[in-house]
Amino acid sequence: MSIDMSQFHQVFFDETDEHLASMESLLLELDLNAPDPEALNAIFRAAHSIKGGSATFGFGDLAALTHVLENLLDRIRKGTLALTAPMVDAFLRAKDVLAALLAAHRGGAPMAPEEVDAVKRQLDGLGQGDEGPAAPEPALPAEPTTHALVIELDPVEGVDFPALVEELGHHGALTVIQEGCAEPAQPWVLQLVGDLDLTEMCETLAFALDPATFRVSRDQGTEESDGFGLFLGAPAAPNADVMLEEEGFGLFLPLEASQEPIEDAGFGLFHPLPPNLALDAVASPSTAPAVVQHAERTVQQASATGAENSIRVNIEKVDLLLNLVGELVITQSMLMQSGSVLDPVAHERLINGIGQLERNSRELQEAVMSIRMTPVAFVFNRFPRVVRDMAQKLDKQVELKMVGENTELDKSFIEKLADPLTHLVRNSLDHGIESPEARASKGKSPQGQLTLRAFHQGGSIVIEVTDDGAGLSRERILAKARERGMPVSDGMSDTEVWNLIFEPGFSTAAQVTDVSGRGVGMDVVKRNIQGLGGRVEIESLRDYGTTIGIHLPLTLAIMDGMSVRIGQETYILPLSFILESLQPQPQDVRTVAGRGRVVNVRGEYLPIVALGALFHVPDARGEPTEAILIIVESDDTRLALMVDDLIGQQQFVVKNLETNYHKVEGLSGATIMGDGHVALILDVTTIVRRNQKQAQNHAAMLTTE
Amino acid sequence: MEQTDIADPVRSTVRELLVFTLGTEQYAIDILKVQEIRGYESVTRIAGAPAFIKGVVNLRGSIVPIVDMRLKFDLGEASYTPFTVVIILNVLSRTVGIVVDGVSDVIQLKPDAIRPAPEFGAAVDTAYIEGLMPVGDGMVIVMDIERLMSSAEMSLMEVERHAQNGQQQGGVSNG
Repeated sequence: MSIDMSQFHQVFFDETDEHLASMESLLLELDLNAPDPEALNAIFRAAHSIKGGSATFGFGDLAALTHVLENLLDRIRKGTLALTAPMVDAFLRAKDVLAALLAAHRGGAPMAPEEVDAVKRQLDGLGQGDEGPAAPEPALPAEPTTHALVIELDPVEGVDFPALVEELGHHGALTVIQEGCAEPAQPWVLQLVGDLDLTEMCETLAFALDPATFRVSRDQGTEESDGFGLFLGAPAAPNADVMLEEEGFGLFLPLEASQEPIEDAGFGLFHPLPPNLALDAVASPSTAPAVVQHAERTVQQASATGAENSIRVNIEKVDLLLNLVGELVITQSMLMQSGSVLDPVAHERLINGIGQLERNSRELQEAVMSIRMTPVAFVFNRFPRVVRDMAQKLDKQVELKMVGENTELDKSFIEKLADPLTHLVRNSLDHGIESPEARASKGKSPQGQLTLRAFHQGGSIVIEVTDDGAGLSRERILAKARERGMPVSDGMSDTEVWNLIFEPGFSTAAQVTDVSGRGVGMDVVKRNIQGLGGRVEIESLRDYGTTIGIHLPLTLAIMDGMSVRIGQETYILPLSFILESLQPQPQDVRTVAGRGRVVNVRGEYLPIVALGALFHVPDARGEPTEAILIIVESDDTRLALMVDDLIGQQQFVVKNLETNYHKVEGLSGATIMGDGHVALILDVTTIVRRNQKQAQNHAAMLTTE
Repeated sequence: MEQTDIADPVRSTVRELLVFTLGTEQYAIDILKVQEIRGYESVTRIAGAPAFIKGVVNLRGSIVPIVDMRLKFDLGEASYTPFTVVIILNVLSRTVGIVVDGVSDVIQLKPDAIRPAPEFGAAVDTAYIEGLMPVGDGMVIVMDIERLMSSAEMSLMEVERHAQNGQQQGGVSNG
C-alpha cells in the first residue's frame, strides 16, 4: 500500500504558516509580568500542532526543534519556569528558524544547520534555568549577511541601465565589469557584494526587467575574476551546476510528486532560450553560466509556482460567490420561462442564447459548488501512513479501517478536521490500543482495530475514531483530576468523567512521549471542533475500546434528500433516514386507543406521524390511505411519516436557519429550490425522539391512572 | 449643541432616515440599517412562529425571515399586492425583512429637531421609539429599529440569550 503523502504537503505548509503566524503575534503580545495563561496555552498548542504535523509528514528537523520549544513552553505554561524576556526572544528566533526550515521544505533556500543547532542550544540553555546572557550566540553571524553576486543584464530598449546600476549600488559595493550596448549585443556585467542573496536579487531585478533578460549568479571565485571581465561568469559555472543539483535533488527528493511539474515548467521556460543562445555565443563566452543560472532560476521559479498553486481564500468570498451563482441560475430559469412563450422562429437567436446561458450557468454552478465540497477521504487518506509509522514506532499491531470516505464535507471543515483527527488517531494508537502481549493476555486478537467512520446523522455529519483498545480509565482520570485540584467526586457519571480529559493540560499518561501524553491533544480537539460549531462525544468501555465522535453541523454541506409535498408546502427529508415509502391499504392502518394510529408494514406496527398536523399545515391530508407514508429510521426506532405526495429526489445545499432567524424544533435547516423558493429540511431525529417522548408520557399517564 | 449626547457621538451628527408608513402613522428608521427595498414575494411559512413572522425568503442565497409590521402592531391592512414593500434591514449582523405599507421619503435628522416621545400615542412601545420629529405639516416617529428587532417580543433572535449562556459555560470550564 503506497500513499502519496506529498499531496498533503501543501495543506501542512499552509497550516504551519498559520500556526507560526499566530504564535508570533501571541508572543509579541505577551505581558512578561503577568502572562495570560490562555495565551501561553495557545502558543503551546500552536507548537504542538506544528510538531504533530511535521512528524506526520516526515519533516524531522521541524519536529525536533518544535519538540525542544514545546518542552520549554510546557514548563512555563504549568508555572514551573518563569517567563523572561530572553525566553521570548529565543522563542521568536526559534519561530523564524522554523519558518526558514518550512520555506526550505517548500523549495526555497536551504537552511544552515548551524543556525538550527544554535537555536536549539539556546532553548536547551533556557530550560536548564540558564537564562539569557549565557545562551550561546550563533556561531556564524557573518557568513550569511553578505553575498557576492555576478549580474548580467541583456541590453533592452527602453530601460535606463545607468539608473538601474545606480539603484543596485544602494544594496552594496558595486563594480561595473562591462558596460553593455545594444549593437553589437553586449550584456552589462556587474559584480555586487551586498546584503541581497541570489533569490532576493532575482526578485529585485524582476521588478524592473523581464526575467529572460537578466542572469544572476553567485561569485564563487573572486580572485579569478580580477581582470578577466568577460570570463568572470565562467569559473562559477561548475560550482553553480553542483549547487543546482544539490538544491534540486536534495530538496525535492521527499516531494516526489512535485518533481514532474518542475520539469514541465523547466521545459516551458527553456523555450525562449535558443535565440538568446545564438546571440550570446557570438557575443561572449558567458553563455555557459548563463544557461546554468537560467536553469537554476527555473528551478526556483517552478518551486515558487508550486507553492502558489493553491490559494487560501476567505470562506465568505466563496459563500458570496455561491449565493450569487445561485441567484444567476434562478434569473436564468426565469428568462427561460419568459422565452418559452416566444415564437421560436422569430426569436431564434434569443432562444439559442438563453439555451447557451443555461448550460454556462449550470457549469458555473457546479464549478463553484465543487470549490467547497470535498469528500472526507481527503483527510482520511493521510492516516494509513500515520498509523503504520506510529504502530511501528510503538511496537503495536494495528489494522486501520476507513468507512464512508465519500461523505462530502464542506471544504473549510476538511481543512480544520485534519489537526483534531490526527490528535485523536495518535491518542488511540498510543494510549488506546495495547501492546500485542497485553492484548493477548486479555484474550483479544493481538492486532488492534482502529476505525475511522464518516456518516450523516440527523442534522449533523459525524466522524468517529474508534479503537478496540483498553478504554479510558475512570479511576486514573479521577485521580489525576484530584491531583490537579479539580472539583470531582466518585459519583460523577461516566460522561462527566470522560469530559475531564478535555481540560487544558490534562494527561493521564505516565510518560510524556514524542507521540502524545501531554494532554494538549484533547484540548485542541475540543476547541477546533467547537470552532466549527460542532461537539465531541466520548464513549468508552474498559477493555472494549473507545469511540470519539465528532459531530459537525450540516451547514453548507450538500445532502441527498427527498422533497415531499404537505398541503401546499414543500419539505425536504434527508434520504439517509428513509427506508421506504408506501401507500397503505385501509386494512393496514389501525387506531390504537389514545396513542394515535399505526400502520402494519410486513407484520411490524409502526406509529404514524402526520407531518401536516405536526407543522400545522393547512389543507394537509388527514387520512393515511389517501396519503403517502414514508418509513424512516433514527436511533434504531422506525416510524411512518405521513405526507401528501413525493415530489422527487435530488441534492440540496443545506442552509442554516440560525444565521438570520433561530433554531426551530423539527427542522434542521433550509434549502433553496430550483424556482428560488425556500424549502425547509426536516430533522428526522428530533421528530422521532419527540414521538417517543409523547408515547412515554402517555404510557406514564396511563399507569398512574 | 449643549444637548449633545457625549456618550453617543453618532447621534450628534446629522443622520439620514428612511420614512415608511404603517396605516396612518409615519415611522422613520436609520437609513444605515437598511440594506435594500424590495417587493413582497411569496414566503415559506415556518411552523410555530408567531403570525407576524410571515416566514422566510431566499435573498440571494441567504435565508431571511420576513416580519409583517402591520400584523405586529395591528396597523393598516395586511394585504399583499405587487406594490407591497419589504425593507431589508441589516441589524446586529443579521438580515431581516419587514413588510410596511409604503416607503415615502428620506429625511435628514438633526439632533436638536427630535422631541421625546410621549408615554402613549403610537402603536409601538415607547421603549423602541427614539423620539418624534416634525416634518412639514405632520410628524414622524423615529424608531430604534435595532432594539426592536433584537427584542424578545419579536422572537426573531436568540442572540443575547445564547451569548450569555456561552459566557457562563466558558466561565465554568475555565474555573
